[in-house]
This record gives sequence, C-alpha cells and structure tokens, in this order.
Amino acid sequence: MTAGQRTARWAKRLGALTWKELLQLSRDLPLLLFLIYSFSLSVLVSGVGITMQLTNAEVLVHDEDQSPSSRELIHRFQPPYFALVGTIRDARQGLQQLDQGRAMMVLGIPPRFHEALVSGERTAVQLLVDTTNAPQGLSAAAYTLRIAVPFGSETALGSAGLSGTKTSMPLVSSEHRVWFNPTQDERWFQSISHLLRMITLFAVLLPAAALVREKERGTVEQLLVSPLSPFQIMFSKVLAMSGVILLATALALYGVLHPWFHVPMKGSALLFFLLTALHVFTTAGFGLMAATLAKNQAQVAMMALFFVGPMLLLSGITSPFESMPQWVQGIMTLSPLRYYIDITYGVMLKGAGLDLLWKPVGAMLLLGGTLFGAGMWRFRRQFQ
Amino acid sequence: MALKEWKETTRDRLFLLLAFLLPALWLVVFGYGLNLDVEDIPFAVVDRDQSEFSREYLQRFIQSRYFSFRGYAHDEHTLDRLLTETKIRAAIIVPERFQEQLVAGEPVAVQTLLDGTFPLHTDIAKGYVIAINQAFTEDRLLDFLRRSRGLTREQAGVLVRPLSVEVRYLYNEEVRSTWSMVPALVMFTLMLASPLLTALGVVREKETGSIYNIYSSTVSRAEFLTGKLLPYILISLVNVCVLWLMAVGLFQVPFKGHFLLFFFAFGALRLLYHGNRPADFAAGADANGGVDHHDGRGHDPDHFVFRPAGSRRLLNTGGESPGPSLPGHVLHQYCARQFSERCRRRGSVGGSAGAGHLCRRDGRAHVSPLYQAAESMRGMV
Repeated sequence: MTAGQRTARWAKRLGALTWKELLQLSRDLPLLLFLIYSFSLSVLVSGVGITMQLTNAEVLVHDEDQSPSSRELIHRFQPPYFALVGTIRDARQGLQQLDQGRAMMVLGIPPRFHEALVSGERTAVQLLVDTTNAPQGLSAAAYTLRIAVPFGSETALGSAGLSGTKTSMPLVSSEHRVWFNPTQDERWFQSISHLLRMITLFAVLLPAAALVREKERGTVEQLLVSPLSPFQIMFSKVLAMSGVILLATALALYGVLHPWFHVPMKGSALLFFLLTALHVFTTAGFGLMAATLAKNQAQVAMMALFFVGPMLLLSGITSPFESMPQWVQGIMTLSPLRYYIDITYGVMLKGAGLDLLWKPVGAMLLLGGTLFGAGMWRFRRQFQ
Repeated sequence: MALKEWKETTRDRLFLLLAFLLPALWLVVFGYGLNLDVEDIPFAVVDRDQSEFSREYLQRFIQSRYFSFRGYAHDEHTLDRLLTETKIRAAIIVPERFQEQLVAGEPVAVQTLLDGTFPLHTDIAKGYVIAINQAFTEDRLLDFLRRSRGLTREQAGVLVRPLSVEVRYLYNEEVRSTWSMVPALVMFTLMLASPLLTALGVVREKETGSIYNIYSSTVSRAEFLTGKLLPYILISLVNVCVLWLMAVGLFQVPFKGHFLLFFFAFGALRLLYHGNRPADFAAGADANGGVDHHDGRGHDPDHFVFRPAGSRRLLNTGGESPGPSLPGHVLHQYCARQFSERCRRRGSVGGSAGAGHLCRRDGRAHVSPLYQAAESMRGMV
C-alpha cells in the first residue's frame, strides 16, 4: 500500500464516518427542527423584540406656567426618545401615576418660568424619574438635561439680544459620525448577537451530545475495535456538526439578516464562513472536553451550561469587551467567542480582512488546537 | 417515591455538585462581570490646532472617567484603522483655527467618530461628548460675555446657564445598576437552573429504562410526578436561600419587603416552573409512543427545548410571541403583576416598585431581558 493509497483510504473512512453522523442527526427530528428554528425564527424575533435604548418613554407634564417658553420646552420632548402622554394638575397626581406605572417621568415646570428666563434670573425645572431600570432612568435624565439646558441658555441669550444667529458666539458643536452602523439600528446588533450566541451554543452542544450519546449506548467500543483511529472518530463528529452549523448560519444570514434587517456584509462572505468554521471547531473542542468528562447527557448539559453560560454573557456580546472588569477580561481570553465577536463584526460591519484580523484569528487557532489536542488525549486515555 | 428519587440524585455526585454550585456561581460571575455602565471608552485624538485651547479641550476628555485615552493619531487614516481593529471606539478631530475662532467669538465644529456596533453604547457615548462640549462652550461663553459686554461672572453665568434641572430618582435612589441587576439575576439563574434540574432528573429515568418499572407498578401518575418533583424543589429552595443571602450580603441590595411572603411566593413560582417541565415532558412521552425508548431520543428535545423556553420567557414578556412554554410564561407574568400590585398598595413611594408598567408598554419600549425577568423580585426591593 502506497502512502497515497493509505491517505485515500483514511480520507474515505473519515468521509463515511461523517456521513454516518449526519444520518444520525437527521433521524433526530426534534433536534433538527429546533436547530432550524433557532437559526431562523429565533433570530428574527430577537431582532424585533428587544430594544435597550430609550424609546417612547412616557412623559407627564405638570406645567404651572403655561407660557410660550414652557410650551416650547415641552414641544422639544419628541419621539423616538419621549412620548408625551398627558398633563397633570398637581404633584400628587404625578406620583400616583408613576406608582401605577402609567408614565416613566414627570416634568414639572414652575410658575414664572418664562419671566425668569427672559429677565435673566435663574430657574429650574423638576424631573421625577422612575429608575427601577437604572440605565434607562439615567438615560431619560441625561436626555432631558440635553434638551432643557441649551433651551434655557438659548432663550436667555436671545432675550438679551445676543444670539441673533448662532454664528456670533463661541460655541463648540460636535458633528457626530457614526461608523459601521450609521443608523444605529439596534436590530442589527440584536440579531447578530443572537446569531453568535446560537452558533456558539450549538457548536458546544452538538458534538458533545453526539459523543455522549454513543457512550451511553455503548457504541463507542464498537468504533474503537474497528480500524478507525480516535482522531477520525472525534473529528468526524466535529466535521459533520460544523457543516450543519455552517448551513444553518447561511440560513440565518441570507434568510433573515439580509432580507429583513438589511445587515450588510462589507467584508468577504467567504472569509466569514471560513472563520465561522474555525470558531465552531474551537468551540467544539470545548464541548468534546466536557463530553470526555461526563458520564451521561445530564452531566454534559450541566457542564456545558456551566462554561457556556458565562462565556455567552461575558465575552463581549451585550456590552463591549473593554468595559468588563479586568479579571473578567483575563478569564475571557480563553473564550473563543470573544475573538469571534471581533471577527464577525469586523468582517460584517467593518469590512475588515485578514490583514486586520490576524490577531484574533491567531488566538483562536491556538485555543482550538490546544482544546482539541487535550480532548483527543483524554479520549484516547479513556478507552485504552 | 420521593425517597427513591432523592437517593438517585445523591448518587450522581457530579450532578448534585453542579446543581448547588451553578446558580451561586452564575450570580457571582454575572453580578460582578456583567457591567452595563458605560465608562472607559477607548478613544484617540487628532489635534489639528495644537493650541492652548485645543489642549485644554482635549484634557477634559482625557481626564474624564468615561473615556480612556489611547493616544494621538496623525490623521484620519490611522483613526480608520484603529476603529476597524476595535482598538478605539471613539475619536475626536479638532479642526484648525480652533482657538482663533473661539476667541473671535465664532462657533467651531469638532468632529466625533463613534463606533456604532453597540448602539446603546454609541448613544451614551454621544451623550458624554455632548455634555463635555456643552460644559466647554459655557466656559467660553462666560469668558466671551465678560470681555465683550463687561458683565461680572455672576451675571454672565445666569445668561449662559439659567436653567437647571432638579432630578429626583424614584424607587432606586442611588441609581445603582446592581440594585436592578441582582434581583433580576437571581430570578434568571433560578429560572434556568431549576427546570433544567428537574428535566434532567426526569429524563434520566427514561434513559436508564427504569421507567418501565414505574409503568408496571402501582404508582399513579400524580404520585409519580410529585415524587419526582420533591427533591428538586428542595434543592431549589435551598438555592433560593443561598442566592438571597448573596444578593443581600454580597451585593448589598436592600430588601424592603416582607421576607416570608416573598419566600412563599417564590416557592410557588418554583413549583410552577418545576411543574411546567414534566408537563411538557409527559406530552412528549405520550407523543413518542412506546416503541423504542432506548435510543435516548426523548432526552434531546428536553434538554434543548429547555433552553429556548428559558430564554424566550426572558425575551418576550410583552406577550408578543409565545414561546414553547406559554402557560408557564403567562402564569409568571400574572404572579409578578400580583406581587407588584400588592406591594404598591401596601408600600410607599420609596418601598414599592414600578414593575408592572413594564408589562404594559408596547413592544418597542421594552428593555433588557434581565430587567423583565426581575419583576416579582423588584416588587419586594
């Protein structure tokens, strides 16, 4: 047997094993359905369902002045951030409404508001904010400040005859340019994050479940007495599951993200899929390690959650990586997801190529190789 | 029945360990790690003016705790690269003649580039930039007015900034995100962990095939289910206590409500959750038919379906799209609402919570899923 023939035979066996894995998966209908659902409907729902930004915050107004200035100020509280839901007569009513949850904030304009502003006196408006949701409460207060304070100086300076046009005063205005997501469309963010989470989750669970299923049924011994090497056994699982996940990702990308949310693919799509495959391999390494340690599927599930849960939430999906505390950042260097996030956003939204992404890619290769090697080693040990 | 289940559970030591460790570990990791405050935004600067004013202006950003200065860049191309590599998330470009124009009383426009991948953070970063600009502008205006009109500092101050806003934060006076986060987290971890435990325990029965023994015995369905649930409920109750202790002790979240009532209500909710899983499972068992139980097939749907059920409950509490476990979801909403209503009627402004209104907002006004999950707990905080 020449080396060439031997390699061909090895490859053929690997192919046969991979095909067997795919067949087994296809016979598991609930799992398949769940897979398809997670990568299509689920992504769609995540995009339209949640929003973390302040939208339509209900504002009640308690206007004790009823002057042109107060009306102008109230007028500046516009959607999408605010929604004026009504006016109230006294302060107690306002508190009541907040208690009942009918509004999120109450804006109180004192009497003599207009007079004070035009005659150069100080005055203040009151704001009661419901901060059971801390960031939103803070956001609401911040936006209010942003609206009210400039309004105050505009009016005062205007009536003092100073700002005929805005071109005669030393103002520093900022021109914001938002890159990569110019419309700040939150749906892009939510749907992409959800897709990343699904990919990672399945990449961990699918191969692990497959391996442990075999352990339970006892078919691993059958595999081992055959002329197949442990590497082929493990690798075929990973190959099969990666293929499936890549297909599912394509489904999500071209079935939901592009048509519904208009998420662009500024970089090369091929690169994205290649790197996704790399991520799946690396994460599958995690799963396989867990599978070699567990005796039944219950344990695999627990362990997967144990590691995957924190990984999913702390790798920088919902909030940027650099805003995590130092010790979290340290631990998460071991998380392939953390690099994958950079890669995905890099390729999709920023149009980056390998020249800019070589660092995270390199890190993932290293991580994946180590995990895989360790898993393999354990696997061999267990059955010899 | 319960005894048998308990024995089986304790025999699987890894399982037991994880059952107690998992919620506690999650609470710690997420409580400390999941940080929603936007601070230390990495940024770079292109200063085309290099004057005293521009340096002073930039100092305000450099020294701000909301920004983390990464260095001066030469031109926009460098900024381009840095932004794409995610080395920085914001950039400030000071134009030429910055000082000249300001001294002459003319407006200037400073360009700010922001990384938009995390829309929420972009918004907040924009807010910071605008606030710093406003402060700087006011100082310049003050100077300008004093020089050109001969006003005193006080007079100019009034003209420049006459209007202030007195903000009163209700229900979460120190506006600590931990106060809103940790209760949500406790809810979240328990909500995920308990059904998982129960489901795994029940399905283990199926896998090992001892379910046939049960079928052929005189144990009725009700007995079987209660017996199965009991040990897990016990574990969950212990977990509740542990987590509550952690929330109050470790994270210093104030607890203003009535403890026993909370405990029992929580227990009731737990019951609902636990009860939910076997219901799903029983349906699945009937549907699968009695032909081949040894392929472990019954297990997969459970341990995968559980995941979306959990996360969907979190995501869709507006009742927008029902997840696979709608009954449990609806019941949870109902209980949560009952909770907050009762507390509001009893408590005062400081003690009660505005939880219920989040249910009633339209879809677009919903916020992070974690907050949604915390409704009943927040009713007590």
